[in-house]
Amino acid sequence: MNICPYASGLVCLSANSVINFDNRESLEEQDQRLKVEAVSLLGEMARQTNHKTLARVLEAFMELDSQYRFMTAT
Amino acid sequence: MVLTQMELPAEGLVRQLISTYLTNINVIFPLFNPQQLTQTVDRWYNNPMQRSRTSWAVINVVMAIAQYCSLGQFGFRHADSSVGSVPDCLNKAQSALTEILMGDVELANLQVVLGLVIIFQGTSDIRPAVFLISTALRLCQVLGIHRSDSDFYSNANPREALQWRRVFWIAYILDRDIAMRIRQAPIQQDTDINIELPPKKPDKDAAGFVSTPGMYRNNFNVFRAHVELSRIQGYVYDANFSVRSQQLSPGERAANCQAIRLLLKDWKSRIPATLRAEALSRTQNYLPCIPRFLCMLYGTVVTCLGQLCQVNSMDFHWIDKLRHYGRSITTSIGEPCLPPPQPQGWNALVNECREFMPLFISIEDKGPAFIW
Repeated sequence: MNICPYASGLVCLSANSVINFDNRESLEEQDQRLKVEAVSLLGEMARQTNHKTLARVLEAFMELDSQYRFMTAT
Repeated sequence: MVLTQMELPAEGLVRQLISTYLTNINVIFPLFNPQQLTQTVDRWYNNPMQRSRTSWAVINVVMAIAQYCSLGQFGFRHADSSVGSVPDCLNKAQSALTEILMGDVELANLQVVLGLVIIFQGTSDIRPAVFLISTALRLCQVLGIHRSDSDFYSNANPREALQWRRVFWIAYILDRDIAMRIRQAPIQQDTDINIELPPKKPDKDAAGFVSTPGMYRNNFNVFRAHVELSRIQGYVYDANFSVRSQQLSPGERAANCQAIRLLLKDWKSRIPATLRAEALSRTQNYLPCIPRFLCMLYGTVVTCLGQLCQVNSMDFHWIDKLRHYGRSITTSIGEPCLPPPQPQGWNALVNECREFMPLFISIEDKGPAFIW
């Protein structure tokens, strides 16, 4: 199975959190769980394969996630 | 090559792999007629004088697919050395390729080429699949199996015609998948096809059909659904990446993308409730190949929606703008820049991801995941 749609899913959910940080209703509770699962799986794959795209997906996630946390904390 | 060099593993092992392939892969992606494939194996072992390079290549390519697509399942977690590894079977099938392509065009030859495409498509180096699918589709066109008015169909019996149509549709599906991955136009044009789609009602051997709880009489043809989704994949290319699309106004392109989103929505609405992502991730009612196969289709839907929004794991332009916006807020230096506009179809993409991701994670044996 192709990992790319799954990696796209992580990027989309992370981006969606930032876009809608002031609109909690549009963020579903399950999103956080899905992101945690995805980071775990993709992180493992990135370690195994050293693939640049996966590394970039995870890097984007880390930054978007920290921005989301900052936005929602203030 | 002399016949003695056309070696195969012990009969029992070969039959086990052929059975694995027929039960778990061919049943939803019917490249071979099960009866004919079994007869090929029978002839190989029972009538050594009837052995041919083509039948040897067919058996090797099927063994390669069976092992490749079922790594971790059915006892073939690590290819059994007595069976022959995937690369070994592939090398053998490829060694017959020149002879196959230079010989008469027959069903088995085309099936070998498509079998090789199936394997190579699932690797990080797509180039062999790109060249082989071009060859396979040209063979299809030379034979005329994309046209219902070709001489071939007028001379074929119904069983043969059925299998030729299936082989053509498999070539079509693989063409669309590969084209999407490399962002090039598909080779086979929709306007140059007039054979029937795979049927809605079960035909002779019901290949491609999945029976679902509550649908005992009206099984669902996932093979037909696959062809229909492949057609939409071609539209995504037309709307987003083709030369023609670049000449359209932003409004026209947005309208085309919206029309494709509606097609995807319509496609999903025809999937029975028990085969949708949410239901599949919560049930174990099916052979493992069914949720895996459908997960691949739903992954294609995510990719289509992502390409329509130009947001996926390969398109970082928009994500980079979003990160830049976030940085301007978190660093609080200067005026925060405006957030990038939410792409049209964003919510549909996000909701699709929410449905797809639990299904993907629920599939224990993901097979050899590959990366674009």
